Amino acid sequence: MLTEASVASAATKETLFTQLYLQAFPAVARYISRKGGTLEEAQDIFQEALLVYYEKVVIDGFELKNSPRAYILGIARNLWLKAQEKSIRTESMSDLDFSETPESQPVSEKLLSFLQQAGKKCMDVLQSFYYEKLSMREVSARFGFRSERSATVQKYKCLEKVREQVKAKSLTYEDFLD
Amino acid sequence: MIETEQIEKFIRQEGDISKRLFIEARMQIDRELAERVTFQQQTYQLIREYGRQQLRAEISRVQKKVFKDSVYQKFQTKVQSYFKI
Repeated sequence: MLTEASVASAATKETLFTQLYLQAFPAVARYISRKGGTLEEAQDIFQEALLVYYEKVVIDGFELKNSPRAYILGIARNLWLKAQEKSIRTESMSDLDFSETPESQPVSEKLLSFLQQAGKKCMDVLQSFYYEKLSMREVSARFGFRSERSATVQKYKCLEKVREQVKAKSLTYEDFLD
Repeated sequence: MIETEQIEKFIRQEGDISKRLFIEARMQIDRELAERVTFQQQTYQLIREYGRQQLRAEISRVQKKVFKDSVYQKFQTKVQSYFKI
């Protein structure tokens, strides 16, 4: 299994995701086809399941009791059932659905362009610390900072820069949703 | 920077509790500070979404690869067999 340090490598991520597709996707596809879903639906569900897997197992270090394949299949089943429930509810409530959770929604182009203004490097530094939860030592190594201290200083400068943009535009998270 | 760090510790409930209580007390009388705390919270949410978006893009690239590249033909045939009518 991946170690914390290997979270840093894009090549390692690609290898991990490729292995998981080969090991776990057929089981998920078979499940979804039996439930009447399409290949595209299976792919969408699988992508979200991989995201959950990566956050729980690689980032948070959750120890699996079963194989990655079994764990991903479990997540995919839950996601499929939730999506089915949601579509039934949406039908019965016309187009009003208050159950939306912003966290699980894809963000819009607007967010991307906003974040590009903040500077890609800044956003990458921030996400590696706050989202991927790398240590400052690992952040320094990934971005070539001279020391952990200078990485920390840069992290806060970036945080202030993005915060100022959020303030300037008085944007809220909901503004970025389509 | 020091203030940003203190706001971070306040939001994440980390570090010295007396410093966190100090921020909390100052927020009552300093509206701009209270605003900065709110904006910083929103910034963390955005960073998280940005991270997720990067990860989704990486997953999509791999998906494209395993469904297009002939190296993975055995996998492709197996998967497609589940969706044949």
